Amino acid sequence: MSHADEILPNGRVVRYDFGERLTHWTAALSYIYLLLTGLAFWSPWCFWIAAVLGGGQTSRTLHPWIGLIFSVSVINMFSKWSHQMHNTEADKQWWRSLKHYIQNEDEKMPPAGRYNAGQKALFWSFFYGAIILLLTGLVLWFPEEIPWSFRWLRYVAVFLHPVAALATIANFLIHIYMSVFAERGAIDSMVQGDVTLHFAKRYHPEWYKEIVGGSSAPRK
Amino acid sequence: MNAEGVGRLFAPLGAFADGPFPTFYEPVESPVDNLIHPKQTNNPIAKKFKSAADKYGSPKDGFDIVCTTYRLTEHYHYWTKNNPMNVQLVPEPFVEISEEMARERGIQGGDRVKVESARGFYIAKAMVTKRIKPMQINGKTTYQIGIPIHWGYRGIAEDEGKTAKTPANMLSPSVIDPNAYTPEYKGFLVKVTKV
Amino acid sequence: MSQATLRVQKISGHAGSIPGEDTQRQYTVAKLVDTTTCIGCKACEVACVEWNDMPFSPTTFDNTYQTMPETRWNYWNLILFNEHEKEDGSLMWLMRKNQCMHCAEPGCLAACPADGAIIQYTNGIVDFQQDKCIGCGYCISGCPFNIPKFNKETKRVYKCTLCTDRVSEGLEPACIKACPTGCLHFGSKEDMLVLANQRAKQLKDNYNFPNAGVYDPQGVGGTGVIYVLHDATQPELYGGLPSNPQIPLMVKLWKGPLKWLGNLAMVGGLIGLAVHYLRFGPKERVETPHEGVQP
Repeated sequence: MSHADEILPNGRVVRYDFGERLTHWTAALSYIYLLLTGLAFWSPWCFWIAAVLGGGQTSRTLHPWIGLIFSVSVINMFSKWSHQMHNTEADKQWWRSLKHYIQNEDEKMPPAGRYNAGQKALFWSFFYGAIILLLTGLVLWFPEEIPWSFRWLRYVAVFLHPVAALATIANFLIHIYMSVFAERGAIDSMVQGDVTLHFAKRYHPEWYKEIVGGSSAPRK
Repeated sequence: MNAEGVGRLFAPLGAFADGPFPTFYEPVESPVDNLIHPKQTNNPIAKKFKSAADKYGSPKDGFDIVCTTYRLTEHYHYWTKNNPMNVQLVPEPFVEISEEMARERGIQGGDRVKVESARGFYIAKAMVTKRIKPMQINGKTTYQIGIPIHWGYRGIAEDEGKTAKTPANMLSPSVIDPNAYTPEYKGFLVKVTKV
Repeated sequence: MSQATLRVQKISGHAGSIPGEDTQRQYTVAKLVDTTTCIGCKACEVACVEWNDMPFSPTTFDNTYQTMPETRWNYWNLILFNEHEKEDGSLMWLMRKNQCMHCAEPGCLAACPADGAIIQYTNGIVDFQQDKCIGCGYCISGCPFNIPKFNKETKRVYKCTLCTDRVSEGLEPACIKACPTGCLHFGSKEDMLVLANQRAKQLKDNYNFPNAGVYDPQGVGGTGVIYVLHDATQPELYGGLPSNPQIPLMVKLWKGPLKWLGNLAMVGGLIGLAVHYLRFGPKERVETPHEGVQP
């Protein structure tokens, strides 16, 4: 098993170990199932998705269980990565230069560390979104158990659950776009676990400096 | 309708056991004396059984609560306690008591109470209600309770151990009207305690 | 279950138009419940259980003549008993027959995501189709009257059907047939409103109930079950009958503005990202080495 930030002989550097990749893909695949069944419940125009995925009743039964799997993997990712996701001064500046980032003028951006400010924001957005989805999802899983005098819980859940879901869908769209289309080579980091040193220098210069500068120092 | 086709001012001899003129009698067990003729409070020729169980109580023996028995719409006599639909409508025997009496004695709805008369006892849950009001008789507050009759020692709830299996008519006196032969099940005295 | 598709005017979770909408000249039916002449005999409760062959469920003593605290998946019709002491000290024992109100604008139908699980017929009856129900319980949140009840074994919801099987054959619902006092009436909504208003007027004029009135809440577009109440200004006295029932705000927001915003955001987002890629492309183009040709 490779160690984080270990420089490999083929000019690549390890970015994610096996545990991190496994957790990420568990979250990703469970999220896709949740998204598809969720869209089926969201709109009559998408209800056919439930039929394709085993029927309406099956989707209703499985959606919360897969939701639990998703929640556990998100919490796992939180425990692995949250300490790397705190905002620094450079991050505040990153947001101020966002226009350049969108127009692919990355040279005008302050140098990013292991994660840039946008990635950190995505992390927290997914995390809090998942928490809200979990809590409201628990209420929606057993609505018949909530007594009439506590019906406000059901009303809040029925509204916040799709709101949080929409927020995670926005995250999802941006995340797929960035990792598959915008930053070529990024997906290697999550599939085989490593990226080229060129990639590291191009997109995460401060992280690159740490790796080649003092590679014996443990990752923060 | 009388044979002669008109009303009578008095009952002819032989037509009623206790004629010729109508009067008022208290039940055999009553909290008060008869105002019209206190020396003969109740009907002197009411038929009474003479077994050892035919005892009568009075307020000075501690039987200070007036009790009446009645029927429910949801049950009929004693056989509907064996029918699931009726038992679903009213599952358990109860004793209806007024809110004032409940407050005085610390009884809450659902508490088990024991109702005792000179002849027997009855145990069931209390239903505390506003529909029964205390009576003011001769300046004294007198409470009344009501007991639906429909349960006994066998039935769906009885067999599941949900009731005390006591019949309500262990309480009432076997005193019979001398003319109609109806028993005096609807007015007698009891005492009530929490179990 | 209706055999004729034209008799259905609303379908839950349905994409597109509904074949039966506004295609039939049909009056809406209504059940009139006159609480002022109800004696709480529960014949209607028994009739409903018997007509629908529902299994018996256990009940316990709860200090009231009311059979159980709420309707159940297998007990759709329940008389609610309330002892109400008026300001002048006199007592009224209020009895209200509680069941699905068959709203003209049903909250259960609005909230339901499953295609065809809840339908409304052109005569106004709202019916659950358990074979299409996915058991999500959104209808429970959509209903302002606390009516749909979930069965844990079958994972479906159930409620009063207004005896749509009887009504389709020209019969009155079972509860109406069983009522011994004639306080339940069934017919067209128009006729029932006339009867109800007549009775309310009689109560006002002759029986010293100045606040007597008809309960036909417009917040849900009117209901297929209407009540005559001794005091129409205080419906809550009658076992918590809501005075201004509506589809809950959160449900309306979810199915209304949030739906639009969400769809716009998702589709707009997809299009936006595609356009961004067209315009700006990836952050770094992969260089392929030239072969042979010198620039």
